[in-house]
Amino acid sequence: MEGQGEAQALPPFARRRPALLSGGLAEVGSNLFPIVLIGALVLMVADVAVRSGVSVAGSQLVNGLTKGAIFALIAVGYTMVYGIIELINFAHGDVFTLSAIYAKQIGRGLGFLGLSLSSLATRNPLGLALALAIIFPLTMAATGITGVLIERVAYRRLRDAPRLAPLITAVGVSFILEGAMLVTQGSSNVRTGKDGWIHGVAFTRGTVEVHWADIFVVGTALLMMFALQAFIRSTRLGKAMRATAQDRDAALLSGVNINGTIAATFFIGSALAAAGGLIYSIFFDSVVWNLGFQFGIIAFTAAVLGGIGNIVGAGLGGFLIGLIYVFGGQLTAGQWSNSIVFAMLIIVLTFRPVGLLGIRVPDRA
Amino acid sequence: MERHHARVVPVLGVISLVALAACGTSTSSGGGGNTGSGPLDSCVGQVTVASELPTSGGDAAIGGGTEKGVKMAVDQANAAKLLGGCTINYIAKDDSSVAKGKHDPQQGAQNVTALVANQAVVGIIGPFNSSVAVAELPITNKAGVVQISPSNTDPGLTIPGSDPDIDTASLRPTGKTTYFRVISNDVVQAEVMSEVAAKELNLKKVYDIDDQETYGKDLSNYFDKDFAKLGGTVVKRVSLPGDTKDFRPQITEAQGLGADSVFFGGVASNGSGILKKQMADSGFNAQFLSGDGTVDPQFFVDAGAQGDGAQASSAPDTTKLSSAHQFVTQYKQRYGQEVVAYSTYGYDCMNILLQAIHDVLVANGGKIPADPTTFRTNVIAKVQGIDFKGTIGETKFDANGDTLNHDFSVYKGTGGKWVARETISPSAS
Repeated sequence: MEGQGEAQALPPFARRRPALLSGGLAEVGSNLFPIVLIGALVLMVADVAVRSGVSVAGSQLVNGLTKGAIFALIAVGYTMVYGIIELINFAHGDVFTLSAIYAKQIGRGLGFLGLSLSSLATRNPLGLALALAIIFPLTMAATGITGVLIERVAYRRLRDAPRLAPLITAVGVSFILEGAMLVTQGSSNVRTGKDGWIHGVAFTRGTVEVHWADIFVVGTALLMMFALQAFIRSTRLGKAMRATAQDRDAALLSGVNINGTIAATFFIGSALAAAGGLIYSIFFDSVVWNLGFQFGIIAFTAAVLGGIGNIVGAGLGGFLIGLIYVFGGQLTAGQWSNSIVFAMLIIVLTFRPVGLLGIRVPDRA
Repeated sequence: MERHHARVVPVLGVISLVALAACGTSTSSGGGGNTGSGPLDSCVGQVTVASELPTSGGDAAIGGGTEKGVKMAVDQANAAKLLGGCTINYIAKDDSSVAKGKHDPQQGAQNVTALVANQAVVGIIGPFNSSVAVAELPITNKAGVVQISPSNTDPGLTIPGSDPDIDTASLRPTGKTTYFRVISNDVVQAEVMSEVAAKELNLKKVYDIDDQETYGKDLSNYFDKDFAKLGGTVVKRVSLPGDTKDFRPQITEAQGLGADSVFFGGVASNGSGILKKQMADSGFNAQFLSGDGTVDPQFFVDAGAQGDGAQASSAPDTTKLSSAHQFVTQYKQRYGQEVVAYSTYGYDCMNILLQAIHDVLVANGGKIPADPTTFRTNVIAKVQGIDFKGTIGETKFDANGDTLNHDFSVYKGTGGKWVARETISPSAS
């Protein structure tokens, strides 16, 4: 998914240049976009700093980055799947929610076996590390397997069907997952049993308090994404994934197991969403059946902003959208947070459909 | 899910303005006690009544508990042969939709459309939420079917010009009053809560968050106005969508603005408990204030132990009224749960409706009126004129359909439950 870069094929939803803009203007808009985006963000931060003080701006920066970390982990799953089979996997946001519920149930199951993760995690740092070392792999594996099953059942047969078909199936899978969570968990917020796992203030800069939970969220997200990047760069399977993303037929001819590779992509994407679901659970200790709808669609925007198919882009996009969400919300008394994010989606698709870091999609698309 | 409810520990009022509820004194057995009504012995047939409340989804705890009160009124009336030879048929509708996972105005409108289309239905208890009422009232008003709400507090539903977002006249296309409510409105509630905030708790700077719904926005508007009148400052007013799960940006901002309190105008299913928890997690010790929408067990599901200390106004805790004692005991026997804040209100609403139906039947010579429209119209007239002594005290309606009983209680989060502190009857409004 790297190196083939510049000869970018636009994704279908961005392939036609907007009629409103002549070639030259679009070019200028496209080149200016990153500058304008960063400039706007800096202005927003400055505005908050001037109006409410530097410490508020600093705290909001932390809020934006932690929110962005979760968006980033979900966005990576969107982008990986899009990169390899050009499917906007609308069920991905719900996979994120599902993982939080898996984690809750796994915790409960271990509780029945006499192992209370919560009391372990709140005992001392070593216990916490142990609890995390237990819950993360289990939840990520369970969610990853769910992702593979979804691909097997709902998408594989439609891989060569017109693009609309799997898209609709994806929406259908999303409804099925939401429905299942609604029935089993009820429709109100449920606690995830991870209250106070990570608490306390790590350090204070001026009056900006940075909590351990903030560091944990951002750190875990970055760690996961670096690990993924390394995996894709340097392992055989990673190479197969890159090859399949570039040209599925050619990869097949070179002996790549396409089905296995795509399944692995779904596994990894879902497992990362599970990491997002877990850090969300630890951070907020609350989950609700339709949480993934909003998170999914915002994370999708993040993936588009970074350049769909581009894993580094998705991470970057996630953090940027988190900041835009928080600072944009500040400017507008909260009312327009969502609108600003989706306005961003429209602006990206109009002026820079390739996103910030460029699209990576199959050539033969 | 476990449901707890406040076991009442009245903390004697620190407040000077408290005129302790006099409404508990006028006791009479509610409906159901009205047995042996001779004039209706010859009555033949079935009278159909309905309720329209959010009984699943995010509001299930409070809406379901209200519906249980309604249902008990029907069953007791049937058992006691309130309508003599006639029986009462009860239809329960739920306005939570799967799409929203909680009360949904569209679902409510569909429900009442179906109910009024059923010629047999002579009255509806509900809705629970003001936003749902806005969607429903024009439909029932046109059809001429009485609606009695246990819990709607938006003043705009009945008082023209009191809420800029609601065109009260459009809710009454026929110009006649067909909608009544047994609870006072947000104008009074906001007065009570702002008095508590400014005078008792000595708060100076409030950060106000509403949930973008009819009820929440309106309550926040009135609170802001009253709090400012009492010398307080509203440092900022924000309006957040109901699916907000992360309030940290607002908490950070409130801290930066030096707020000593946060007011949440909205319902618990829109995240008041989450907000309270995140305030505690961020080490922000401002006083949490809210209205009746937050006095809901869901608040403590979301906030856990961190919900303690929150204060909110709500319908008086009728569970401690002697008039409600019998009902509260029977409710517990029957359902194995404590009543919720609105169970008594739902119970009284249905009893008022049944009493009105009873009076219509008596006036009609012990028979069900042959013409369904006449039946419905006469029931409205009897509800309008009712003077009912029930579990929540005495209920009489003014020409707009508002109750003349303006009491509110202040509740405090204590040990993971809402506990009523005192009842406040505003001097005059």
